Amino acid sequence: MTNIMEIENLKTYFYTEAGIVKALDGVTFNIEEDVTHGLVGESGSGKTVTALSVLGIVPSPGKIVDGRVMFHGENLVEKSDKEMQKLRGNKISISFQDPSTSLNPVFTVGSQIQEVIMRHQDVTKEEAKKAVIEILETVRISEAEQRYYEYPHQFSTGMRQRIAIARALSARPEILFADEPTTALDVTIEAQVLNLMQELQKNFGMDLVMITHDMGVIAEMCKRVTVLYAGRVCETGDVRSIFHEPLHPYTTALLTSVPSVLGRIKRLAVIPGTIPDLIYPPPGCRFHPRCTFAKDICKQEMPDAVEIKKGHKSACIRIDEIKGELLSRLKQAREEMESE
Amino acid sequence: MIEITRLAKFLLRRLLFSIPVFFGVTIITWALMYAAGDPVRLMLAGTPYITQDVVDNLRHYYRLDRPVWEQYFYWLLNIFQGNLGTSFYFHSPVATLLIPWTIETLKLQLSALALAVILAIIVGVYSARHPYSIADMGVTTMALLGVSMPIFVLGIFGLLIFSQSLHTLTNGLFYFPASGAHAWNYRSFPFPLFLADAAWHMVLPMLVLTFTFMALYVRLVRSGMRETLQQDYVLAARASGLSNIKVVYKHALRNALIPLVTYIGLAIATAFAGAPITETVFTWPGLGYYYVQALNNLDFPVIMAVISILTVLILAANIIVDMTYGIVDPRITVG
Repeated sequence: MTNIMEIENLKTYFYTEAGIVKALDGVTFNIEEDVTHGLVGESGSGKTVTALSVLGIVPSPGKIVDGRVMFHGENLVEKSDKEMQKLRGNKISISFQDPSTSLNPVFTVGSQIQEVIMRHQDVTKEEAKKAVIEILETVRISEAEQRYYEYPHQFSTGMRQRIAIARALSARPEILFADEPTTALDVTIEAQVLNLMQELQKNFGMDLVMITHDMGVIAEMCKRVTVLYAGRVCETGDVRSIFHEPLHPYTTALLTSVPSVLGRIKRLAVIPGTIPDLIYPPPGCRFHPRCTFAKDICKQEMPDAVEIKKGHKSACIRIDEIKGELLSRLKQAREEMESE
Repeated sequence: MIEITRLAKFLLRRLLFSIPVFFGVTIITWALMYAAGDPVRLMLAGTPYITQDVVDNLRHYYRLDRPVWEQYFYWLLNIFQGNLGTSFYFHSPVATLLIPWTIETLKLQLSALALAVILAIIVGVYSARHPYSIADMGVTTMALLGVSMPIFVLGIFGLLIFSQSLHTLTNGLFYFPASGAHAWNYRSFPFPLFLADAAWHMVLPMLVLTFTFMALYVRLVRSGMRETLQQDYVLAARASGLSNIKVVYKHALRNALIPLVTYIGLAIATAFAGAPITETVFTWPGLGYYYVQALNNLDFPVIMAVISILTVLILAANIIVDMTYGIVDPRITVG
């Protein structure tokens, strides 16, 4: 398996008046070719900032302070904004979480996709327009020729999300970061959009990075997954391996808090506490204040993810000691869900 | 088809609503004018040996001896026939007086407005892109100054510095004129010199006006841009690889300009009124200046003509602004 993108020790800080927010504090993971990669974590864990950092569009006052993003043998972090403009939307693309705000309300959807095509491809206006109608049809917008001239507010939310995806795909990128593509949608539309994305991925032959906090979406869509917590990688590995044998207390806690439709649960399992203040993050392992396995050693060293099994890395120092306990907890939780 | 009927209905409704406003404004002005004083007494002020006969004759001549409501209706009847009356003070038809005044005023106002809008967009966008930088703080301070400083203070500072002090410093070689729109003998100038002379006279009043207009617009552009630059669609435009110029001046600015449309529409309408204070400070022979003169002289026909034309223009501008909203912001449907 070759990697299409390697992210190494990426650090993105936001210089706010209250202090330096360490949104990403040394994130390392690889995106393999032809494999859908999942990026999970709760709000504020740095999923979106990772994608924005890769694209070089971290909004002010944010800055990439360290790290490398290797893509086709080049470090994207060192590239100038002009050079990045040629890659953005062209080789590397992103679709945003909320399609109601990510499409400009005062321009027609057609012109918004057309300008991306014209920017990256040497085509005439007419050719670009044809390409727009084609891609709108690909994302199943019916009567694309007429709807080319309509404004975003004239579409439903599900359609808008498909249009936003169409724009992200219009220049045939190699990698698409899909930032919570289904969060703003209801469940039936969610299935439609996910199916569409799988289909597009096959047809376009691009790599997909799904950014989500929904373990269900990960299970359905991804082969590889990286779990982020407070700007650090907890665990990265194959989806099967992570779902059946998680190697980090945070992942285990996430998995046990997924509600099941099979039985009634007396009480939804939650992870106590909240995500830490990223201006003054806890020393050592970021998760230790909420971790039931935390020992003194966890507060001292900030652990990097190391390979425990083949292709499965974990950033827990005590993983060898607690591996068995994690597994039995997960089993117990799953049995409880099914028995009730 | 439906679009057109809806637009027609909208226009008709707004026009019907405008009629009572027009009558309201003109009736109130009429009443205030009469309360202000007696124009005949003013005309005869200082003239010795006036008999009651002369006063009565003049009153009769100007129809001022009729009941107030009858005079109003007579005036109304006349303006609907296109007759704005004869000035008490200049003794010539108001319509022929208004034309040169309006030209001078529009020349000043529209050029200042256009310059102010262009500069405000450039400066406002720059400020919004570099918030709390030294340049931005300078801009916001100047804008606050421009909004809060009365034009008669600003105008007189302008006169003091660029007219008087400059004249003294350069020994009269280079300065800007303090009053008027032309040199006294401009009619004898050949064409290029005539233009240069007019432009030279325009510089000071135009700069003062531009500054006051700009102060308001810069604040609008800056706050609008600060908001739109943080929107997801701007981030999405950047993520599509568009150039910074396109992201800022197309995607962000287009949305930030929506509130500015209201102000510009009304500014164009009120431009016809001139800027009474600016024109008085610079003795600019425009509508604003002569309107103040007419008030002082109790020149009823001129006062009423200016007020009624202005009322119509502002009402029309309001309707036009509401209609352009539909063009500027596709989410708004007119009707």
